[in-house]
Amino acid sequence: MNFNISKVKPVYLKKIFSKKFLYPLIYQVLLQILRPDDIGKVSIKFSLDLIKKNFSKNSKVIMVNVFTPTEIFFALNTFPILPEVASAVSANFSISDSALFESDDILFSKDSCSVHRNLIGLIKMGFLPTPNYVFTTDKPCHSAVHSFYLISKFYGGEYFVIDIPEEETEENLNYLSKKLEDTFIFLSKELKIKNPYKNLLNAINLSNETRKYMIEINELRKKKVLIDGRKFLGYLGMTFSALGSTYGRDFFKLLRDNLKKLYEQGFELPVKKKLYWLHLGPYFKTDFFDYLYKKGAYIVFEETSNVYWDEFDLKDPFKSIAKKLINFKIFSNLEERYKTTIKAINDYKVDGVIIFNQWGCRQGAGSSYLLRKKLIDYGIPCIIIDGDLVDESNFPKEQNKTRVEGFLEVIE
Amino acid sequence: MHNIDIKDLYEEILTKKIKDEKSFFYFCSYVPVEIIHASSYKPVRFILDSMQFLHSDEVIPKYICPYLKTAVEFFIKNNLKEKNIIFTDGCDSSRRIFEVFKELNFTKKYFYLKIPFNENPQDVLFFKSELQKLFLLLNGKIDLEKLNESINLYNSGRKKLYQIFNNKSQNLKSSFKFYLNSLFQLMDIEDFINLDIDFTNQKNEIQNKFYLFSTVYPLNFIEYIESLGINIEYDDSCFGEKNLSLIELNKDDPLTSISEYYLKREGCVRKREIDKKLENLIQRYKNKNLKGVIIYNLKYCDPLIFFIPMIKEKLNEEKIPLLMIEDDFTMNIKGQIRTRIEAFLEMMI
Repeated sequence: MNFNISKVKPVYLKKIFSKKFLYPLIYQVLLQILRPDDIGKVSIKFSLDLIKKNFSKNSKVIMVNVFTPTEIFFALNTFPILPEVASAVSANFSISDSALFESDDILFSKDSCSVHRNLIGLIKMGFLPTPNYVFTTDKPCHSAVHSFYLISKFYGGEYFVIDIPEEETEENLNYLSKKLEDTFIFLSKELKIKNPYKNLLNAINLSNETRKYMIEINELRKKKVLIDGRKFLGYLGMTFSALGSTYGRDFFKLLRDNLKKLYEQGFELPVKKKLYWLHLGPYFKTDFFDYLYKKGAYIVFEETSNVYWDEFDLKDPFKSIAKKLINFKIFSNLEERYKTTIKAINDYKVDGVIIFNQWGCRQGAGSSYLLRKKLIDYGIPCIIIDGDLVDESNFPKEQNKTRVEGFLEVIE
Repeated sequence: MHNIDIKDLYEEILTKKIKDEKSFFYFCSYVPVEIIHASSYKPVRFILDSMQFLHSDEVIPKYICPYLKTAVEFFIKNNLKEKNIIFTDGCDSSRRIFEVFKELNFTKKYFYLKIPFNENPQDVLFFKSELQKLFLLLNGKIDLEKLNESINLYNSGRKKLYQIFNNKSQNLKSSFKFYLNSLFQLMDIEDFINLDIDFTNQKNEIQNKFYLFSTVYPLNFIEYIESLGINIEYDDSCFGEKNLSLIELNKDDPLTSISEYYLKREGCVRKREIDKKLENLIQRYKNKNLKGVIIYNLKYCDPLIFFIPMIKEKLNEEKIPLLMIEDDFTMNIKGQIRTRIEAFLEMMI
């Protein structure tokens, strides 16, 4: 069945989404159309519940960026929307072309990150609801700080920035954990939540459990190439959006179970060249990755799959979360990215490294040329692919294929 | 400063400062010059004329802030190494340029200053602790007496400049005012305070007075638009006239005074108090009886890109004429700038 969601007007989608009784039916229809596997079913259920919660009357819509700890929000019985993730999903459904076009009326410039231009278009068009609250951290980049502010000014929503210090010192941990707790208390009062701390412990437990599965997945992937890493660039949506929820736990548990089964069955992908992938990748439909597979090149691990944080301490959850935020190791600085890449090269026996540079991403691409040089000096082949996460017109596919072909020839 | 062209003076001092071991360079207006001065270093804001990017493209992508890129270009071209520099997390480009400078050994002594977006008491305290770290790195100890002296000196410099800029009888050319402000950011503060300024031939003859809004623009931009019949009456950019407000000094706790000042003064587009900033813009525009607003839209400057929709909406509401000029700090589009300015001026007549 050929179904193109980009042809459906947001106003009709909104009407459908506002009718709760339709959700079981929508779920069944999506299962028929998409024919997902078990983990796919969890993410569809997650997406539908997120939509149901946020598009229903009188619901409080909370938007957060990819680094804002979702555990806090699940504990408050809310379902945070991550506009950056929605932006990537919209590219997959071919909605981003029109959303980017719409955002041009507001932003006047194509020189900023397309993910953030796109999310402004999505709100303008009505694909995303108007928020009541907008939260963003100042990491990994400032784009969310700016684009979310624009959303709050143009469409509404009380706006908050959570500043993340650079170094882990006792003083900085206290500063950030206090901010996180203040945010939690503020929202629990606003939303009139009873026993928020009890809920928080539950969310923290779920997050810890999910983390455990994620680590197990990474360990299994060290042993054999059981799954193509490109899929993990998509699963990242769940990592960012679902930590602290049962959806996140179920998703990664099922994924762990599936990989374990494959491993026990002795399955392995027909890998000739093992690649490590830095940053994100194109989220629109592209045969770029198929091209890699044809050459026997598979992504065996990705920067974004690193589980770099410790288990959260139930006795001091806010400090634990603060610790995670300060010590983030994905989309990090040159030194950290170099260290994590070298570790991955050794852990996953990587043959070559691909750095994906998102057009206009100052923080991700800024030191990428130097990172490539350092990796080459270390002795690992490395290539930078220039492209776009959501704007297909800005991804020179054929040119990149030619460059990758040359790169793969270099890899022994 | 008699018989010396102010631009020549600027270039002469900049050349000396680049060689001076005691110079401490910075790129962002959040850097507290008072702490550098109190540590017996000489604060130098690093800004150059527009230039072509011939070497820096090898180490940083095209879409990084071109203002910061000129610094990389200049360092590579002139084989500069081991300079004292303070970086900030003012924007994403700034964060990454810090790494580029470190990696290429452009830095000797350096500091990365974290600036919170929030301005609540706990953020002022946090920023104060960042400033303390900076002071300790530069000076080895917290010398409050010295810091008080430095704050007073810079306040005097700001006062001097403010009085010159706001003396209506002088009605100075915008390029002269611009270089004077740049000298304030470049010279030793003691020299600036004692600088004997010659105002001969610096009177503004242009009737068309405008408001300039930007983050950063190249040195030759103001001169160029002046040659086309535009006088900038108020420079609202990162290092513009709004920075001439004074530090309210609490002698017992000067670090808090500085922290409050830099976080809460009318800052750049990075600040989240945008309504207040736009109010100030409109008020100045009306008080100074200006003809329009010119935005120098520095390409790849995210804080500005995301701010422009809000300023544009406000100016539309107020029916204030606006001209946007987008440039990548190279001024390669001089012809285009000329055409647009001529059309803008014609529209006003």
